[in-house]
Amino acid sequence: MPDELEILLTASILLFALGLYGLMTKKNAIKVIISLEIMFIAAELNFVAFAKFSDEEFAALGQTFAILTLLVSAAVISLVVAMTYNVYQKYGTLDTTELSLLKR
Amino acid sequence: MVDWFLFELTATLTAAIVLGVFALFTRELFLSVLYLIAMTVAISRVFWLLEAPYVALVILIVYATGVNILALIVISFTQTQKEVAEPAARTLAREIPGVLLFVGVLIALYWAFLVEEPFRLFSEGPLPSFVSDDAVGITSLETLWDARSVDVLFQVFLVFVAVTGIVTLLRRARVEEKAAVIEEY
Repeated sequence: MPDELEILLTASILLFALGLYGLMTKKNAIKVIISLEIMFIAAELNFVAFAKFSDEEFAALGQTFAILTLLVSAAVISLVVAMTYNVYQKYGTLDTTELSLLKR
Repeated sequence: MVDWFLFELTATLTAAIVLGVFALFTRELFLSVLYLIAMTVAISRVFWLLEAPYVALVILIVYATGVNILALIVISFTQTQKEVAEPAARTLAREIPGVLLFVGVLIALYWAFLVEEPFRLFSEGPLPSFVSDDAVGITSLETLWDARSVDVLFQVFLVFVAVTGIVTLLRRARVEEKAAVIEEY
């Protein structure tokens, strides 16, 4: 395995685990969105890394998938951010624990 | 002899990870998003180093500016610009499963990617069925249109829907805010 690919995969694993940790432990909705964003970026890093270090015919395809996933994730995160603002306007809090108590 | 590519790649990735940690653990939400923007710029540099300039530009334009600026605007509207501190016992009770999951995922992904080496599959045998012959050996933008045109059209529609949704949500929130102010007076 090339050294560069090993480094990239290690970084991607660390970023993904970091995002997952944030998703599990953070209570603030904005922090949860930040965690999601970090996880998406880790996945895109994987796409580009494999595209660079696998056979030549996959280079363009890997980058293409990276662009597609990037735009979809950006659209999703933007919507979630807008919804967060709406939720704040309605309930006056961004605390996910408090919001989950409100539905009871 | 120093391999400058390897050095720059490692340094940029380290910076990205450190900025990601700062983004997650800073109490100030505004600063947190600023760290995330810096992290996105570092990742964009990594993509540029990996000869993926289009991905680098897209991540810079869409994430570092679009999405994160929207997050900054929302934070400035919501007035909860700091995370609320919790009692230590409650924090610990939530942190332990998180830490366990963090370590578990680290080990699982390390085993999957670096021990099993799944990418070895790519170097042998014929092309997988989802790759058309037209898509081989051309640039990523050509592939984007030639091989994934349906995806691109779907994505344009998706982005349009997302933008419409955001505008609708934000406008409704502003209208409700104005109505509340009028009612107050």
